[in-house]
Amino acid sequence: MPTDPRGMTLSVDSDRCTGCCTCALVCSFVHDRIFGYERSRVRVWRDDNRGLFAPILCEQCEDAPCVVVCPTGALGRDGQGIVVRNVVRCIGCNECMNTCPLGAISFGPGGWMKCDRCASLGRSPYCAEYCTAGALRWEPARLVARARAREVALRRVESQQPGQGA
Amino acid sequence: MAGQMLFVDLTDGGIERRPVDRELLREYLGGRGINARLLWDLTQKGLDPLSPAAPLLFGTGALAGTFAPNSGRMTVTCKSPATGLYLKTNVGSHAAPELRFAGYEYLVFQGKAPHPVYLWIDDGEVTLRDARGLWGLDTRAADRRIKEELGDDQIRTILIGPAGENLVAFASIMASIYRAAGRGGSGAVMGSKNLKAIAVRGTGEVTVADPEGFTEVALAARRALRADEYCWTRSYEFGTAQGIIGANEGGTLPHRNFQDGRVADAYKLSGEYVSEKFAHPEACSACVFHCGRFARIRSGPYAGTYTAGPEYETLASLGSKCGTTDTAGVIKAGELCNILGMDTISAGSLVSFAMECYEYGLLSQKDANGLDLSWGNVESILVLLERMARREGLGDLLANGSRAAARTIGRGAEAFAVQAKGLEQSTVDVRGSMSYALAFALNPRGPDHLMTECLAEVGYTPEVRRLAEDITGTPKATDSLSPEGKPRMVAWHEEIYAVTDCLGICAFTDTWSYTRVNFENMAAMFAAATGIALSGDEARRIGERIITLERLFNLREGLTREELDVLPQRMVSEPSPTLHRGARTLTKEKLDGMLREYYVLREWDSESGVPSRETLARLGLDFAAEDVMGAR
Repeated sequence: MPTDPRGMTLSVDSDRCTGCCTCALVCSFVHDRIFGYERSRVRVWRDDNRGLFAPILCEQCEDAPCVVVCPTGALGRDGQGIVVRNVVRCIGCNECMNTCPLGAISFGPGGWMKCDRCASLGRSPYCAEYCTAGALRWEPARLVARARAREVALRRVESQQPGQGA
Repeated sequence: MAGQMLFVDLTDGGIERRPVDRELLREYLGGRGINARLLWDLTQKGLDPLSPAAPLLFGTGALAGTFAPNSGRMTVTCKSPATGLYLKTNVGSHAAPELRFAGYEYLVFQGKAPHPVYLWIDDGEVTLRDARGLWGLDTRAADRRIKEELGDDQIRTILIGPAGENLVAFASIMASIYRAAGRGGSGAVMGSKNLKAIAVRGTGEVTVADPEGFTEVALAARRALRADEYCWTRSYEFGTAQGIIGANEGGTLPHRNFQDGRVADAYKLSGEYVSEKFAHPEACSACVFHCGRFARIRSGPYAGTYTAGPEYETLASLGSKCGTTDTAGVIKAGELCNILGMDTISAGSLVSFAMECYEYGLLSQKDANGLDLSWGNVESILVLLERMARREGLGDLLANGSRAAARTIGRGAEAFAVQAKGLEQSTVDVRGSMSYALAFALNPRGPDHLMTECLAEVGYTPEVRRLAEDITGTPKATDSLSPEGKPRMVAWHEEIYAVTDCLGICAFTDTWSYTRVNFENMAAMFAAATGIALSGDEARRIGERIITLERLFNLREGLTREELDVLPQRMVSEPSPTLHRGARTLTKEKLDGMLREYYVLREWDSESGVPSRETLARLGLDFAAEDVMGAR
């Protein structure tokens, strides 16, 4: 999870996701002025039966497989650490989509799509701003590990209590 | 927006697409409003709700699929098999946005398929498919089978369970397995048409006429709701059942079929407890509140149970109302209702009705096919639910609804059927609240809070108290036992609920966080989305038009005000011992007084409760005058 120069990162916390898909609606609209779950750079996978939800989006991998496999060198990283595409070099071979371990790249009716953390709009990510559930958060990277450590610690402490952990 | 209406004739399999009429949109806004007009046009007086000719309508809200706050909802409209009257029921999940992304805003079903079918909407392609292999399956199994058959697990389904197939009077239509268009038996209408399911996949888009304007007003409304941190954090953390403890403290949590209103350990039914022990939050499309729950039981006798919910109504109806606070048992009962496709409110009412009949000797253990129907017997509740859905033994009788069941049992069983017009009352004790009492009596589908919830009467913040006084013009507005100002209170709420339903916005948006979403910004969102100019006042007027049209539907059936504007007998004839020390807080006279004032306010005839021709003309409902006056 690389950070931008301001030390901020977009954290993804599926545990808090309620599947409301507001992120997808906001994303498709701010980029393309349309609404559509499948027209968004962030997509929410929903398992209706088991009540499971997870937002799926590009996490700007440190060692990004999409950049590695791109045969024309069209994918690279910008100054903020965002994986970006050079439209001129891209031949639309879909290799990046096929390789992405998160399934976060798509070729839809609107062409190649992938989250750029709203860098192209020159601002912080819209999705995090409107995620009331707190599943997508734009926050200082140094706090992410600390919060995770607290969670793990609490879980361990609680599991030591008699009668807990059912 | 370029959505279409899809007309499906199930008898001959004909599928026809028509554009949504702009005039209809202008006059009825969408969802509930347009459905109400379509139902009026497609139905004649006296039509059997379960006959092939009866229409079944699905209408997405005008803003469904956008990021307007809490906007992902859909209205299902038909003639109710429970009441024989107008039925509108609203459902969330993600079905409505998915339909709109596929390009459809309205689905109109008529006729009856020669064998079970389901409708598959794959963006532009719409086909009826064989559902003989799905018939008899519960909603969960049918959903899984459809997704396997079509090879896509991100399809959204709208379907019925065995209860709908067996024409149970309170069968629901389930969206995404667990979200119910619950009230009034729309599932039976779907079952009567041999329509097992609608499966939809929409990969397209929804656009708005004025993107900049829409962004401004819709996102401002989202931010305003979010700023009400107390509201949405409680909703996210505890869901709808956050209100259980308060209701119990107030003596209005129904216990033993409304015999009284308090249980000893209500905490076990509370949103706080359920969320801590069993459930995580879940949400419909574009929601700010996230009030939905998804429960899992990992240990104990009901280990392995999983289902969306339980909501407030499920916990109160299948819990305290049936005399139990066994949390896991109630969650299990909720799961059964969801997968069998039954309204948890009515299902719980039928169980508690049977239990009260049992208590007073009107039903014996033999009548109950060996079941011990003592209050709080969870095992019996679970078996009875299953038998109602499958119409086995006593369940077959109860499946006809409490009005019909009480008639058959006789010997005074009517007193135990907490129903009016054939619909079982939701778990709100209206004896403690005059605006709820009035709204429940006027509700065209029967007594519940989901058409018009006058939460402002509670006056839960200084802001809300001010609003209540503004609406009614009296400081008595928040005095729950005073009839003063209540007709105005009800009228205002009826109208804002109608507009909210038309736009596909969740009804909780209006009342959990009053004033942040209001007539003005809803009208502005509608105008920016559709390009049809609309002011807040005009939106409110349209709300009045819809309320009146819904009443006209019931008047056309030939019913009088004495038959229409009623409450369950228990509410007006027996005081609740947990309310004001057993004082008679609600009487028929008190209700009648409010009703007459309400008729005058609406410019209906103060004696008959029938809108005058002038009123119909003022509301643009002239077309209905002949039919209604002719029915008198």
